Amino acid sequence: MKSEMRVKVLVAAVALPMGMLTAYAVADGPSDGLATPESFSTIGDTATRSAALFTELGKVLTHPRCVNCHPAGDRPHQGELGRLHQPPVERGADGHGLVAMRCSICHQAANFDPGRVPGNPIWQLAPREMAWEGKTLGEICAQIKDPARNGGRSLEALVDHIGTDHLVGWAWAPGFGRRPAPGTQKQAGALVEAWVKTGAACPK
Amino acid sequence: MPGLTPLSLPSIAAKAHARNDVTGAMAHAFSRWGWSRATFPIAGQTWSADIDALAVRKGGGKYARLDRSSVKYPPTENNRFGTVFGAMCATLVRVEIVRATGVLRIAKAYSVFECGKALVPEIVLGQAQGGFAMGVGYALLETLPPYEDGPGNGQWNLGQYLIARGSDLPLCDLEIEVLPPVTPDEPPKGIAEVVMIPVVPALLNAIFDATGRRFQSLPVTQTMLKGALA
Amino acid sequence: MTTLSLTINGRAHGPMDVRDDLTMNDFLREHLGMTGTKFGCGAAQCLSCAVIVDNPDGTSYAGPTCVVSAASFNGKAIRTVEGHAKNGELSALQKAFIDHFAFQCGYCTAGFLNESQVLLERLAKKPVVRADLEKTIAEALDSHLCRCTGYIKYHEAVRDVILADPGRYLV
Repeated sequence: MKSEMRVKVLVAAVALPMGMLTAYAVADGPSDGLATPESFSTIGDTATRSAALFTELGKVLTHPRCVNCHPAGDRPHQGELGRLHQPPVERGADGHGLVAMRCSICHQAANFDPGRVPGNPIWQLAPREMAWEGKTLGEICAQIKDPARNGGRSLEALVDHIGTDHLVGWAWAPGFGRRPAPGTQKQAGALVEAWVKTGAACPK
Repeated sequence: MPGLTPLSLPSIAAKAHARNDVTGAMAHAFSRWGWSRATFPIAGQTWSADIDALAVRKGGGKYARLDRSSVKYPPTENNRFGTVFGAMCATLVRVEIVRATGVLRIAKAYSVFECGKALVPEIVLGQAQGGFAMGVGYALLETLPPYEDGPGNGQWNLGQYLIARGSDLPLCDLEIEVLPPVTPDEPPKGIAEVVMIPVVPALLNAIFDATGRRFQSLPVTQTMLKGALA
Repeated sequence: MTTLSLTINGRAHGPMDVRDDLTMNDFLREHLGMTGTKFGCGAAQCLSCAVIVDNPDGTSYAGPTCVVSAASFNGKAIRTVEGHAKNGELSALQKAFIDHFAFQCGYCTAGFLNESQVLLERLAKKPVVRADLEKTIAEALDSHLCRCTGYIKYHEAVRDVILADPGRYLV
């Protein structure tokens, strides 16, 4: 009876520090990679290959670094688990915050690691029509192709936007305590380009 | 013991009833940080115990009180021990819960307490207002889960440990009533914590009233309320 | 390292060299000894660390100092809690906070004071109707956390300062 108890206590004591180590690894570990467009060349049918490329890009689009500022409502999210941003800030009239709480008050031109605060010169929420939170990859794909909902962008402009835009690029260098988006911005841009070149088909 | 059969309760009882012996006893005890002790004559003997009254019945008869031959009570000075001089507080809340989202709003609240002599009434009132906010946090917002995802991982701050903001509270609809002292020379009583405590069950009871669901772990979040109303 | 020059409560400070990773909060409290501004959560959640930043265009806001660098304040003008009283006379808000017993431990008070002052100045430029007053105050102060008071007396103090001068703050 007694030896059983001792084993249980030991197991619990070991599990706790192991868990904490894992938690740190999640926050600071290396990001996942992105597959190259070439690795999809084995898929014969162009439309299927196109959709597969978008699905790979979807790893970036559905990553917390992106979804947190493409929310369904008027409040940004925060962190790896998509919890609501605290303090409870809101989109405001122009996506840059309310009168008394502009985004730029805390989020300055660059990440400020001593304050654990991310930054970018044009820190803001994506417009409501570009909300991705809670949507399937197929829905995001249709939305991202639609000039009425993607800021009037052509497909070529999308390649530029995802591949080179400065604010988008923040997702790969987000600062202390935040996991970067998968791969690199260049790799993501290459995927978009390959997707557009194969007809920009959407996954189901 | 070998050679003897065990006596069953029914057989003992049958014998006692047949002989019209004692078949039942009731005792009363009194404690004042010490038990009273009394002596009773019973069946030709004297018997003492830490009680102050005894009644017995014989056979199928009625209970009859035995006169005690002596009794000793703990001294009345013992009444000083362990007295608590805290205040009592009660709280009433009205909540409104949006069915589709589970968002809860406290529409109106009322706390009443008596704290003896209030030395600085404005501070007593402020404490009661702050205590209400703390109760709201405890019931609806604050969570400290154990293990890896909880604050033990060293990563938590006020972004995850949510405490009540102004928008979580009925800032214009919280009525605090401080009752006058019970006697003119009543000393001041401690009210630091009591003003928070009844807020939690008041909210949970109001939630039960609204949803028919009793929640028994805190906090009761928007997601849980949405699920209860689904 | 960055060269920092700024105005605090109307007084020029610097030029001085500061490390790029120095927070504004540490700069105020440790380098200047101005400990009226507090350090609460260090994560821009509680706003005990908030100071007033006066923009060149005449608008102002109350912003945190715990998550922003001192270097980012180069060329700026700010007001801290130490600057509200003039010639030993407390401001109307400070008097109201005291008269209303609006604070208890006082740790959040500098932040509330700065945010309320910004609100008063905003209302003086763009008054609101009386019916919207409580809501306006509540929205302005909601970003500040307080664990002691439950907020009510802060709101009543600000409200009473406004109601004492309705011609200035109300439509």
